[in-house]
Amino acid sequence: MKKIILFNLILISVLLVFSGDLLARKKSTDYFFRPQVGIWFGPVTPMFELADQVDTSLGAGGYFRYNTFIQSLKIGFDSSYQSHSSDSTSEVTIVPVYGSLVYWLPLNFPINFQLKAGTGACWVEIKPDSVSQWDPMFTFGGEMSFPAGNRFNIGLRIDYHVIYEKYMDNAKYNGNFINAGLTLYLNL
Amino acid sequence: MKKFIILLFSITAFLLFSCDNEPLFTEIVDSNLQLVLKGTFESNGPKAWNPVTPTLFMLDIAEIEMNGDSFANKRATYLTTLNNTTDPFYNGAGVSYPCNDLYNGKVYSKVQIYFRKMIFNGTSVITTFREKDVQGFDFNEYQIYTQADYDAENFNNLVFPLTVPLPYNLKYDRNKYYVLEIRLMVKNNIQQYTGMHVDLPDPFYAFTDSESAVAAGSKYIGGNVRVGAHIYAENEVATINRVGTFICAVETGKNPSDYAVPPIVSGNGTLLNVPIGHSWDVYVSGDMTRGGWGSPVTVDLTNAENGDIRNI
Repeated sequence: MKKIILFNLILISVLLVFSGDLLARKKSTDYFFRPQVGIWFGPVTPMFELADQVDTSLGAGGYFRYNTFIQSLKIGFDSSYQSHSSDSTSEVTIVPVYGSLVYWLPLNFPINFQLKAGTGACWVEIKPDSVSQWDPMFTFGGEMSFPAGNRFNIGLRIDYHVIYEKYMDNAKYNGNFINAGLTLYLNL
Repeated sequence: MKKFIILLFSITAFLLFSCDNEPLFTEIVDSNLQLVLKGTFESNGPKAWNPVTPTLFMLDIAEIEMNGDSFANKRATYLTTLNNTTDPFYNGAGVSYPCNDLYNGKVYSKVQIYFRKMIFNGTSVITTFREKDVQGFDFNEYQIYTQADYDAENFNNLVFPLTVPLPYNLKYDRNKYYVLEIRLMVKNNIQQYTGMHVDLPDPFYAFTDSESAVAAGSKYIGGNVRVGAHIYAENEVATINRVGTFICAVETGKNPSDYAVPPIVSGNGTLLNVPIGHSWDVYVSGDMTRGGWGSPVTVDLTNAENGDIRNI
């Protein structure tokens, strides 16, 4: 967790250093309000009880965002893959597939800040049991990005996924994951 | 837009109410396997302590594996009190060792234990245990056993890892709850060593050399660690009663002498937790040293039911 926080702090500092030049840009957000497609990769971390069982690893995913009738609100579709192994026999692999609403914070700042929340389904496989299934999931998170030209955005995204299993009678835990990622996306 | 959201919520709702799902995250956090360590020869009904001089036995285990799978890879230490029959390590109850599940459908035949330290007090030297100095001697590193011919099958004398055969080949089923019992023979198996090599304290306590005699002046005391392993599925066990001081059961066709400690041993004539679905040979002995087992009586539990009691 400490590594992720440090990584984020460095990234924020880098972004702020570059933001001086970006302030000179005019209306860079005009391009931002187009439909977007992107990819991300970064450290993915299981939380709580699960953190004692499996290790942090690298995950990656892709997403698409489409405009709504409200300019600062987009609808997004995400999918990703992450596999957590351990020194012991335990292993967890998840593939979240979800839709979300992405809200652009209307700040007069060259860096774009977005908040998002969504729901969907998540494919979960566990070892050593070798069982897999689809579970309902919820997610929320935030993003910050700056434009690199008219077409590209470079940013950092953080997602908190809750893979919901507690609705089952004999379930004691949900699956909780924090995914951080460097992201690159295009304004179409 | 609205249609998308409605569709999304419908899919989630559908999944929410699908009833075939299992709680997978609960499954991975909780284990279906319980690993129990005991310091006794008997799996149930252990005999009382004979008078002993050391009062403490300290055990430090790095890891326990089954057929090479690291299902119990967390290090654990145990400080046990020898002269106290209420200590769970010696009264038959056992102490637990943290572990994960095993691979579904895989067949397991042996347990490998990685002992780091075994310490008895009652000597003058200082040893590190649980990152603190304690009075006692760690004899584990001197349990090296040298033999004239290298016999690959003779695992009993190696302590890192110490390989212990299971009573039968177990095909692990993720839907069952198992108990794996590992018994390190500490109780009534202690000897004072004097006049040993100058590197060793004088005197010190370790396991008796009844298995492999240790010569005076020798630096090594290997070949005397005796460990047995038993595994059974909960709700798939029977009870066997046979008159005698010590009774033991091995799978039909095997012999108690195949094991350093037979898989199921009772000190009171009642063998508990005998797995059904197998046939067992039940032996009787007047003492608890090996080789003293008489002729067996075969008890076929192939078609037995959970909770059956057989008297022979």
